[in-house]
Amino acid sequence: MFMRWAGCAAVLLALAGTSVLGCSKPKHQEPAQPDAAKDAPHPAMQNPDHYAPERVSGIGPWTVFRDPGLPALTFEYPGNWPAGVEVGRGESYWQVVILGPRNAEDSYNPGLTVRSMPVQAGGRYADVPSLVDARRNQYAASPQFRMLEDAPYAVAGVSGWHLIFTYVVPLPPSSINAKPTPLQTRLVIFSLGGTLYELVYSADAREYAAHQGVFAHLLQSITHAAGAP
Amino acid sequence: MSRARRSCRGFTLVEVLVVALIITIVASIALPAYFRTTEHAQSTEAVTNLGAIRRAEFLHQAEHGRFIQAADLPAINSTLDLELSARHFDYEVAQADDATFLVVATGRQPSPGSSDPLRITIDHQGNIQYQRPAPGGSGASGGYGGGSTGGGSGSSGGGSGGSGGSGTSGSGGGSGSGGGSGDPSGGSDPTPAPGGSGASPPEPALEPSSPGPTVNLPASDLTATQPNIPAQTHSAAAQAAYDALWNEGAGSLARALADFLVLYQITLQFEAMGSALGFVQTPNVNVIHLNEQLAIQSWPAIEIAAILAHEAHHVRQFVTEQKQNSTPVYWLEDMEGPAYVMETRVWDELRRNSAGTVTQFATHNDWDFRANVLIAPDGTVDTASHNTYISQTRGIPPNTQLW
Repeated sequence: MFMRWAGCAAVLLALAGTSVLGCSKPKHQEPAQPDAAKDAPHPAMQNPDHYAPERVSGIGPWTVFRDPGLPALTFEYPGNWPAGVEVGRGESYWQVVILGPRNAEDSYNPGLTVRSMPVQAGGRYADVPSLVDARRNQYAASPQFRMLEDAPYAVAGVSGWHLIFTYVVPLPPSSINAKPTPLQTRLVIFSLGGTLYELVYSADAREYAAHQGVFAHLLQSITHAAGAP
Repeated sequence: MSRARRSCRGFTLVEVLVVALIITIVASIALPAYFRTTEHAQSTEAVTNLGAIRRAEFLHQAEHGRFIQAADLPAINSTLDLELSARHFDYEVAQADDATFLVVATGRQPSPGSSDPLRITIDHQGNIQYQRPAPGGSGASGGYGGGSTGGGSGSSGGGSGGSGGSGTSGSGGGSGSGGGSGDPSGGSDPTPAPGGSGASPPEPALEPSSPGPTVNLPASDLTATQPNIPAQTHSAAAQAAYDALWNEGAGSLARALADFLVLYQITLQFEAMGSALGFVQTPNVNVIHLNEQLAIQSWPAIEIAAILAHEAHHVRQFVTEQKQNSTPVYWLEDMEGPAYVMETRVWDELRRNSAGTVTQFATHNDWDFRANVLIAPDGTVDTASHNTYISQTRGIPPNTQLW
């Protein structure tokens, strides 16, 4: 008898739980925002590829990123950093933006961006040098721009180029309380199989070192499909 | 053996009655919700058509100097050069004169639980009212439960910024990018802004506009909500920002947006709102809310104009690009990305003199960075970098769906 009543109750509860009670719109999911890492300045700031997992705090397990929009590459990123893919509309690009914890001033998230663009045909850039030149010229126009590194660089055995620079931007944008905020950005650019890849790490310069190991791990974990040049 | 016989015994009368009672209770909760959902879906037709009729009325007024009455949909289509169709509502431009009009959509079926239909109206200011019949209403006009002007319960249409860290919708912190949901209250529905249908009239394209005389915004469009701040302060700031869009914009985008503000009779309303610079909120998207601090702190007119450009683009998204609940809308790709790009491009126009030389620089915000770094000298926007920057500053990744 009890089991029958329990069964009836379960069915009714299931009924009550279905959307027949109301069609609610999907709620906007707030990205998970782990506490800002308060690491001391990284001991290996001079080496952009320094990667010491024990120094990279507050991140979840490494997650392998695979997406049909990025068929030739896979890489690892912190599983608890929210990631979102954007496909260019009217422009030929594909990118995934992965956001780290908000900075102490609540104005900027460190971000890892993996961007792909077709070489020339449909794209803006003919090759790695033209994209590197474009980025140099772009960011040189930013306030208090300073280039820290501008040199060849290889990713997963593919030769390319990388830039590291700082500049100052009033943040947050469109806020009554915007304050000059130093940002630091590292770009790694290479070409593979007719596609240009641009890997970007950008953060509040004061917190750049705290998360650069994550970007270093991403670079070291990159694999590309067999047969890709 | 006895257990087998017991399991075949069937249900007792008490069991059946109790289950029937519970089902009745559940149904009494579920069915009204179902009917409300159905009615809401049908009212989308009305809101869409009302928005199209409203825009057509403005075009008619621009050509003929006055709004026009029409008794039914065929008359509306004929006089306003529309091709609207209707399944669930009848339409009427019930009142019209030189300066005002009221369009009424009346449901063809009685509202659930009543003998009277739902009525939805829109006026020249874009206020949408839902007039729900009271349960068991008799059909007399007094039987309507009374609508509200619908403010507040809808989704936020995207603020121009703010601290943005939390990405919360419409917060005082100013991310304002909008959640798509809102609970109906006070008789209003969280219905989106009046939007166009496939047969909507030509929209004001963002094409080069020829220079023309300055348009003085009507005083009624400039509303001060803080009594301790002189209304003239707000009026002067809004007028100056509008003038900046119209007069100082060396390029076409600023003037086109100024055209848009006038054509759609956008109201500019200054109010306290934390750190955000401005926002637009459905369903009444024809009001651009601006932070009163812009006026109090005497921000330069061209900076307020850049904010207006951002918010005006949100209005365009709602009324001309049909960013409504009917299709998925993504925070960055559909709403904020294009609005920030528009804001940046307009800022780049405004800061240059007639020779194209940059002569003015932003004192309060990052417009110069965006205009210098993310717009190429030939005017093309590096959308990928721009969107990544916006995503990081607002703390919301791409592919985040609003509704």
